[in-house]
Parts: sequence; C-alpha cells; structure tokens
Amino acid sequence: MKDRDLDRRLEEARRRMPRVHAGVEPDAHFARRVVAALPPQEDAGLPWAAWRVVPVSVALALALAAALAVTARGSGASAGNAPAATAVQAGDDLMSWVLEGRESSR
Amino acid sequence: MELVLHWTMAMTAAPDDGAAETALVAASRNGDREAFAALVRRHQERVFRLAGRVFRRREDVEDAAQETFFTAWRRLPTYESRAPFEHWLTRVCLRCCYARLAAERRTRASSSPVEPAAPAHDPAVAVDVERLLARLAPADRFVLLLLDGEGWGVKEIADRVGWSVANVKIRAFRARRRLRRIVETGP
Repeated sequence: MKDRDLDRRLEEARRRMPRVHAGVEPDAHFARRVVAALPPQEDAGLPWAAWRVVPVSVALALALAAALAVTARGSGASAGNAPAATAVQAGDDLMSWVLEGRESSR
Repeated sequence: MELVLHWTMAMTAAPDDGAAETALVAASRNGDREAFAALVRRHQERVFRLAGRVFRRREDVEDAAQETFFTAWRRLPTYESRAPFEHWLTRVCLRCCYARLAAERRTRASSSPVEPAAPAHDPAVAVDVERLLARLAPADRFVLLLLDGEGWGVKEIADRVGWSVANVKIRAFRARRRLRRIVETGP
C-alpha cells in the first residue's frame, strides 16, 4: 500500500474513533441495583494511616531527640565537662578543643 | 423518609452544585447508602459513556459501570477532597475498565475469530475502525480510544488514568505503530 493511501486510511480511522461507542445508557433502576449489591466499605486502615501518621511521627521523634541531645549536652557542661562544652558553645576550632581537653586532664 | 427527600433534592440539583455533592460524598463516606445512590444517579451517565468507549456489549458496559461504583464505595474513606469527586470517579472507572480488559484477554480461551479488516491493498474500501480496534491488544485499544475517541490529550489521560505522561506517550506511540501495521498488512 502506498504511504499516501496508508496515511489516508489511518487518518480516516482516527476520524471515526469518536463514533466507536456501545451506545448503552443506564436504565432507571441501575442506581438501585448498585446500592442493593454494595460491598462493605474499606476502613481508612493501617496502610492509609501509615502514609500520613508515620512521617509526622518520625519528624516529631527526631525533633525530640535533637532537643534531648541539646539538653544533655548542656547538662554535661554544667557537670564539669567545661572545656569541651565551652569550646563547642563558643565555636572554637577542633584543635583548640583538643588542646584544652588535654590541659584539663593533666 | 425525610432523609430520602433530602437526598432526592440534592440529587436533582444541578450537577455542578458543589456543596450538595460534597454533602453527598461526606454522607456516603459515613456509610449512607441513600446518599451514595444519589451520587450514582449523578454520575452514572458519564460512567456508562466511558465504559461504552471500551466495551461493546451492554452487559460488559453495565458490569464495568457497576464495578466502578462498587470500587468507589469501597474506597470512599480514602478519597481526599483535593480533586473533584468527578475526576476521582473517572480515574476509578478507567482503571476498572482497563483491569477488566486485561482480565478478559487472559481468560479468553479461544475467542471467536475476528474478521480481518478491509484488505490493505484496496484503499477504496472504507475503514472499518471497529474491526481494526478488535485486532489491537486491549491496552492499545484503550489508549487510542481515549486519545482519538474521547479527544483527550496525553496529559489529560495521564491525570485521569493515573499513569505518568511518559507512560501515556509510549503507549500511544506503540498503539499507533501497531494500528499502522494492521492497516498496512491487512489479514
């Protein structure tokens, strides 16, 4: 088949596609039949809840853990690990912190 | 009785009466079957029209429509009101139709032989598009009927069916290529 004829037939097929339809309409009792045969509704359920609850829970847990870590570090400083805590809080570089730590342990 | 009257009034409201539909959906989610019946009546013609694109026999169209509403009922608790209910229901319908097509193909042991399309060498014979579509795989037929039958764009199909745009493009390309081969080679 020549390409031109092929293209024409394909175009004709495409034009006729909207007419491809069963032409079926619901009768007056369709809704009643559907409702009479309805299955039980699914619960929102664990998987559905998990998609929503778990990320929030994880974020909260991380925030709490970070808060606890900061609090613990602060408590540690007041108990006597002053050089390390002070260096971290003051933003000193690592070497200074190490040197100060060694000096305090002598 | 009052409840039935209330839902009947909601049902006869204009289809785009968003507040009434929201109320019907909310009640249906709580298990109110009369409210769901009203929703069915609001959307049944649309669902039948979509299913009628994919299936030819009345019983298949009605089965697909019923399955659509059954699925919608079961999954209503997970419906999020971000998208209009009509769009969500359209997606449910298309997925039901597609699943049914795939199942038919698997279970069909020996189908009645499909009459071949018009001979490829005779361009004067009108294109019998029904027979051409019957020779396509269900997935190909499905995509072409949405593209050329419903006149939807690629993005629209992707949104409504829940496929990615790339997936729709690939399916459309393959379907058109296979259709071309069928028209070219004939029986």
